[in-house]
This record gives sequence, C-alpha cells and structure tokens, in this order.
Amino acid sequence: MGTITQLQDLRGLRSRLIVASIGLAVLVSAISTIVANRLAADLGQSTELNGLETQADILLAQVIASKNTAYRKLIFSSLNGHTNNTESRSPILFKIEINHQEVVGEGIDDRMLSIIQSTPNFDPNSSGTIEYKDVAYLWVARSSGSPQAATITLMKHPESLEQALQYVARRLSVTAFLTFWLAVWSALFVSALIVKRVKKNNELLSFMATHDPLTSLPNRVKLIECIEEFTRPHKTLDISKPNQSRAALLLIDLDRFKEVNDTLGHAVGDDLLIALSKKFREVLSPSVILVRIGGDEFIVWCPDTGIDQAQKIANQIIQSCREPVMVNHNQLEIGASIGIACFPEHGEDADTLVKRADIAMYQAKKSRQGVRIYHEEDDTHTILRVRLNSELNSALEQGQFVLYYQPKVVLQTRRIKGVEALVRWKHPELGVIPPMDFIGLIEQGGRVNEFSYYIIDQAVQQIRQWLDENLVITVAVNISPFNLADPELVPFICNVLDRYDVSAELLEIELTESASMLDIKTTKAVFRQLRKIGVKLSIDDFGTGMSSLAYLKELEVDYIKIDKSFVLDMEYDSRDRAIVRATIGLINDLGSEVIAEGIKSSKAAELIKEMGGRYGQGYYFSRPIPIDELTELLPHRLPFRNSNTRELKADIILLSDQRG
Amino acid sequence: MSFPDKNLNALDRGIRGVLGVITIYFGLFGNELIGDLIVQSILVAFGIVNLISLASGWCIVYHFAGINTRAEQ
Repeated sequence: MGTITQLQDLRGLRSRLIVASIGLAVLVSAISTIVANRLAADLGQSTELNGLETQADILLAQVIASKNTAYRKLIFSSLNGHTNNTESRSPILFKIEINHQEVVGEGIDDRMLSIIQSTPNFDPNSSGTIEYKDVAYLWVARSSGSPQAATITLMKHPESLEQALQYVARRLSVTAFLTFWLAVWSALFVSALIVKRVKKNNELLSFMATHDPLTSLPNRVKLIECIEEFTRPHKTLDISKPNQSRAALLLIDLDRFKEVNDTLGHAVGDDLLIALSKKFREVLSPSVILVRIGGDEFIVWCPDTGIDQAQKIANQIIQSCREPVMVNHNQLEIGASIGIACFPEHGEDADTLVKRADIAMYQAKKSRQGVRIYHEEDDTHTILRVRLNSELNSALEQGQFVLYYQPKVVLQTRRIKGVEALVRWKHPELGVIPPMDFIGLIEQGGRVNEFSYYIIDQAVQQIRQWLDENLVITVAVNISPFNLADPELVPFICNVLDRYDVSAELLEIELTESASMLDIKTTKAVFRQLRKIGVKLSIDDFGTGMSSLAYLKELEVDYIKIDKSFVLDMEYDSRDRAIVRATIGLINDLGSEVIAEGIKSSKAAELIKEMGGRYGQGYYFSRPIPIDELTELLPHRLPFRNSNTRELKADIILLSDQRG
Repeated sequence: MSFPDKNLNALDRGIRGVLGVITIYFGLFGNELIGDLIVQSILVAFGIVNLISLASGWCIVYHFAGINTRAEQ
C-alpha cells in the first residue's frame, strides 16, 4: 500500500499529459495531412487521365477518318500546340501505328512501349501510370479493330498535377501549423485542469486519511508520521547529551464520557467531543499536535518539550476540561485523565510512547490523580488489569464479588444506624481486590447493569437475613451513573424487595455528586421513581463534584454525605472546618440529613456533632468489614475495640477503601 | 482593458512578438502561398492574440494553466 506522501507526489503527471496531448495532436495532423494529400493526388490524377483518354478517343477517330499520312502527322503535332508556336512545359508524347507499322510518333520509344504493355491487366484500350527513368507518366492506349487496325498510345508527365499538389501541401502545412499551435494551447490548458483536479482530490484524500472526520483533528496516521519525523534524526544521537531534543506525548482520556454517551445519546457525545477538541486547541500552542485517536481519547504530541513543561500543559488541559460545556442545552461537566510519556526516556518510537502514555493514563484515572507521568512499575499494574479483565466474566458467574459493610453511626448515641455496602472481589489467587481495581473494567465491559443487579440482590438478601434475626438495619448500595439510563433498574428493585419481603425504606441508593449532576433530568426522574416506591436516596462525595446549588435544590434526597476530603483534616484545618460547618447548615436547611464521611477520631466525631451533623462514617468507627465481623458488632455500641479489627489505618488505605 | 498579474518574461514576449508579426504578414499578404481566406483570417487572429500578449505581458492560456515564466526569472 502506498503512503500519503506518494499520494501527494504529482511530479511527472503534468509533463506526461502535455507530451501525450501534443503527440496526439502531431499524429492527428500528420494523418489528416497525408490523407488530404493522397486524396488530392488521386483526384488530380484521375482528372488528368480522363482528359488524356478523351484526347486519345478523338485522335483515334480522326486518324481512322483520314487516310492521308501527312494530315495524320498534322493532327498529332497539334496536340502540343506546335501550330501556335507555344510549347507546353509537359508535352504529350504520342505514337500511332496503322497495320502494325509506325506512322507517326514523338517521344515514345520501344522501351517505354514495352513497359506500358507489360503492366498487369494491359489491353489495347486501357490507361494507367508508369515510371520511366524516375519520372512518372500517365498513359492511354487506344486501338480500333479491323479493317484498318490503328493503335494510338499517348503519354504525359503530369506536371500540372504536381503543381496542384504543391499548392495543396502548402495550405495543409499552414493548417497543420495552426492545429499544432491550438493543440499546444489545449494541452497546457487540459493538463493544468487535470493536474489541478487530481491534486485537489489527492489533498482531500490525504486529509481524510490523516484526519478524524468528527473533530477534523489529525488522526493516528498523522501522529505516527509526526513522531517518526521528529524521532528519526535523534536515533543516531547520544541520549546522554544534555542538548538532545526531547518531546512529550500526552494521552488524554475523558472521564465519564461513556456515561454521557449512554445517558444522553451519541449525538450529544459527538457534540461534546467537538466542543472539547476546540477547547483543547485553544489551550495548546500551535507548535503541538492534537490528535484524536478514537472514542474519547486524544493525544497531544509536544515536540521539544521537557517533563515539567509537559506536566504544565497537562494541567492546563485538565483545567479547561473541568469548565462546564454547554451541549444541546445540557450543561456537561467532564473530567480528564492524562498519562505522559517522554521521548527519549520512556520510548523512542510512536508505539512505545503511546502504549506507555496509555499505561500512565490508566494509573492516573485509577488513582484520580488527573495527570501521571509514566513509571516502570506501572507496567505490572497493567498486567494485573489485563488479567482481571479476562477473569471478570467467570468471577461474576462464580459469585466472587462479596459485600463488605461499613457502619454509619448516630453520633449522639454511637449506635449503628445502618451500613454502607462496599463490594470486594474475593479472587481465589490474588485475595481481596479493592473496587478501584475492577469497577473501571466492569464499566468498560458494559456489564454495569448486571453487576449492580447482583449487588442490590445481595444487599437486600442481607437485610432479610438481619430481619430474620430481629435486626433492623438499612443498607446503602452505590450505583453507577450508567444505571440511571437503565429503564429496568426501578422495576428490578421493586421485584427484589418483594421477593425478599423487605420494606423499601431499609434500602438506600447512593449516587456520587458528580454522577448525579451529569444529566440532572434523568437523575431527577429516576430519583422520583425510587422515592415513590419508598427507597431512601443519598448523594455521595458531596463537595467534590462542583455541582450547582440550583441543581441540588431540585434533587430531593434523604441524605447528603460530606466528602471525606473535608472531614479528614478538619481538626487541624480551619478552612476545612468552615466548609464542613457551612455545608452541614446548608444540608440541614435543605431538609436532608448529613452523613460525614472520613471520621478518623473521636474529636472529629464530636466536632461534626457540635456543628449539627447527625451521622458519621469512618475508620474511627470501623473500616469496611466482612459480614461475619459485622454481625458480631451489631448489638454493641461504637466505637468498638475488636482485636481483629485494625483501626485507623493509614490515610491512603482509608481513601481507597471508601469507594465501592 | 486591465489584465491580471503579468505572467510572461521578456524572452516569451519577444518570441510572441516575432510570431505575431510573421503570422499577420502571412495572413495579409500570403495570398500566393496560402490562397485560402479562412486560413488567412485565422492566421491574422493568432497574430493579433500574440501581439496582445506582447503588449500586456499576460497570456490567458498560461493564466488558466497556472504557468508563469515571469516568476521563474
């Protein structure tokens, strides 16, 4: 297959077209000239021959009529106008024989006569042409039968015909000259026209081959071309040289794009991509190349850029991405995760750089860092991801996903008010895998609904089990924004509650703030249906999703959970304290209940209580624990001091464990 | 009459001038040689086109073909 550069190479096409057009014109002129010349020659010849034949017929008649030899001579001499003393430049040669004896003749010798008589199809009354001593002659023979056998032979060099032909040839050559001139003009004109059109088409083709039709940004083909162009001259240089040029490849993956596509439709998704690509282009300097490589993935190729600068560019992109975008009257907030791979440290060719930027991007997405520069250790995570992805289906079938529970506590009484169900993958070989390692895989694999049904079923089943033991405990289940687009969700929940004969108010549905704000109309509709059947609703991670208060006003929910990032350090950070206090006031005034996440000390629990918060959840009370551990705690007051429970783990575990 | 940008160099204009004069001469006085009114009229027309090119430094065929001998100099 040819390359794009071959497509753009039109050298030679034009000159070949010109040569071909002129060649054709010369050929046509030559053929028409030859044909016209021959036609004129044939016409002239037959006219002259006709004239000669007529003369011969008249002479023969006169010769037969006259018996006098002298008179006969006179008749013949008048042929060439001898009587008028005007000599023709091409005289008629003649010979007359009567009774096989020559009576009179001029210019025709026996040799000439024998040539005439040896022509094919010769008979005494015929005519034709011969060549004698390199001169062409027309001849006519006439003969009368007995009693007086007379034979006349006339010959003539057709000089007037030659003159006519010269005349015709001159005119033809002038015409040929004009035709040739016109042909050159048209050759130039047509070749320019064809080359122009071909060039335009080729440019369009190469644009189509190297650009994404939706956003008109360059595509992977163009990216690889640019990277190769940049890296080629560097391959021979020493990497350790300080002045070696460097470059960075940023792989951008939009967060929550799939949710937009699935909930609002692909048309909105496409418009969002177009709007974002324009935004990115505005942020980026003209020297960098922005490429869409498919789906919601973009690549920014920054030549002559170091790691620090690349990170700055990445941060700018993230910032621009966070600003809400209006698409089809929907205000969409979307995030981005960016992985950075640098040339030449992380790879020296396009494939490696893209692969490693992708690995870094995945880590950034998983850890919610936003931007991550590639590290070698990321590779092992990728191997794990591939393995988990392949085992996901069998894990679902074999029920390897289990629920862990984290108690929510009434701060006043320190009693368990309910629990939040958090999913764990009990892998037969790898042990317990936290949700952040596999939720993304489930979302990408399109099995969110099936997975959520499974979790809801498990949770309701557990509520039933507790009810059977006379324990009334609410269980909160996290759902994904994908579930909102599923029309079967609410009927399924009704069905499950019926099946286990569980009152709807014991089930709580949690949705993160950012997910609920993604498509406020759908969220509102689903929440309304859930409230109608009596299920409790709560907004998770409140304060991180940049939601508009106007939207919050519209969503009637039972609980709002203040994000742990504000609660964790509020003991030491007066600003966090101020935010938490104000948020609690706001939530209480809106008529919802506050649940503070991330309580890690008694002091924090007290502070929340003083600020007016009723419920708390966090490592101070309990980390998420399996069902058997939880069952032991249930009748007790909290905080408990169970020897099996390692309390207050490092913050980082706390952060990772809180999602489910 | 105004023409777009000139596209003929001095040599090109010179050749056109000579050709123009020759063809007009034959068109007008080439009765003996050519002896055809139509061919002679075409020759005169060609000659006039060439003389216009000489005077203006612009050729319509070059213009459409995208050729410019002036720029190459």
